[in-house]
Amino acid sequence: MREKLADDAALLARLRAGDGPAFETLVMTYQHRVFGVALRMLGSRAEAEEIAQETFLRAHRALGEFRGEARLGTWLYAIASRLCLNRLASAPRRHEQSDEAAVLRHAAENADAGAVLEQRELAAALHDAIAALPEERRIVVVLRDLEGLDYEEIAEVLGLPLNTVRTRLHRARLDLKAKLERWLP
Amino acid sequence: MTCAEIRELFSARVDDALSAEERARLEAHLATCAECPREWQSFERSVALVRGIEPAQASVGFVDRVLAARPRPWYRRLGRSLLVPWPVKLPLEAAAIALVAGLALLIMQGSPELQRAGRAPVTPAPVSTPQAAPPPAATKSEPAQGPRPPSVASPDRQRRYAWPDEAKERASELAPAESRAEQPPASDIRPLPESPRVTAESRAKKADAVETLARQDTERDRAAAAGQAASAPAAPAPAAPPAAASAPAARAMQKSGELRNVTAAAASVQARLAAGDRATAERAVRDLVTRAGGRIVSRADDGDGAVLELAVPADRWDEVKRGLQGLGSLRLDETRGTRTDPRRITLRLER
Repeated sequence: MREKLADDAALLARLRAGDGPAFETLVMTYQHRVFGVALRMLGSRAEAEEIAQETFLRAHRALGEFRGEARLGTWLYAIASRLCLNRLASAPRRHEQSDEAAVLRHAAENADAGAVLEQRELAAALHDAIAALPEERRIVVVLRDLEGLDYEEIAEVLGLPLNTVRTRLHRARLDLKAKLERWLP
Repeated sequence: MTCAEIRELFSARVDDALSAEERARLEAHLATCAECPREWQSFERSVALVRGIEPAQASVGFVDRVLAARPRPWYRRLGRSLLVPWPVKLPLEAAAIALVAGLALLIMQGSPELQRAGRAPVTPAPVSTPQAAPPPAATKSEPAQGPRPPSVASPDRQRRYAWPDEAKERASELAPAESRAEQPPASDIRPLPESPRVTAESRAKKADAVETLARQDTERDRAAAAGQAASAPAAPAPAAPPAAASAPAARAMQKSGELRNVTAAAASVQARLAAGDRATAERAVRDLVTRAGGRIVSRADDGDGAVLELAVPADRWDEVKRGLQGLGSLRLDETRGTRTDPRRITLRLER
């Protein structure tokens, strides 16, 4: 993401000028990241795509209100995170194996080579471990370890104090370590 | 520093977010503790596993779906939001209808012609009474009232401003050019725009003269009025205002040929002369007027007396007046007329 940050200002200027293709560029640039956050948070590809689409549509509507103090990516992450947390809050769900983890586990069960099998089992375990995290910890670890945001950016995206971000991140990592004992030395 | 406290710093160490002091304490502890280095390795490894997860990829066509779902421009959304929902659309339509009705009312009120056109036609008055049977006279006298009114589609309006050729011819035949423009508004409707030459005073005098002369020929008047009405059934007979009262008399005098003189007599003096012998007095009046350079413009007779229309040079009027006073009891009314030259005198001879 960082290598793209320099382009944010130019892209934002085009968006504000009403440049039609600029919005397409925005979606193309951030589609996988926004979708990734939604997928790790919700565990369902269909739901994740729905949230990702809504994220871009809201951004499109709110472009006039975006002051440009934050980076475009941070702004999009903030919208997506809020949508995901709202979705999870409005429809509480008991912990279930995510679609993504089920796909990985099914692939692992049908894999031939031992290394591939182990790799796919690990992927499924990782997805299960992440999905088992409490939402407030899950979003922090997703933004930090999967999306690469630094502490300050996470605090800005989630609207949290920096120490809260540090604490939640550490607790999430300890939870994951406990879930992944089998794969650790 | 305890092991638990040291392990709280593991996340910050993974992210290289430790202060120099924290880093020094952590390194010192790890160098001396047996358990914490293993914990650190597990912790670091678990974070590495998470960070090694394959990035998620949105499905093919995601961008197109987002672009297709992009909202319409604001003006299209506004139009749709205003027009589509019935709770909004119906009041808008009702407001539009009310606006159109209000505008129509305003235009109607602002135009007297449209107001008149919208009224019911005036009920024709009976033609059997002299007071209410003015059409022929009205049509005859209307031409003298100024510019011809414009033609309009309303039947009522057409009737009011009817301009039959026959009536026009008769009017021009009966009225001298001088007095044609001074005809009183014998019409049954509101007065038409007046010629500048017509004044209220002159109209009043003319009406008096016509009324006076009309009384002399009552029987002929009625017969003539009935004949006129019968000969012009299609002529309109609108409601008669007071000004139409002289119309029968005028019509009667047209028959007798006297109207020409009567209508020409814009009399400035009204006089009544009571003499013992009316015939003698009339001859004396004729001599008096002739000597003074004047003339008898017209003469009308009724059962009680005679009415003479005199035209006397203004500078000889006093002389004629004195002569009239010598013939009998003379009553004069000069206040109503303008002092024209020659003087126009309506003189009624009585016993």
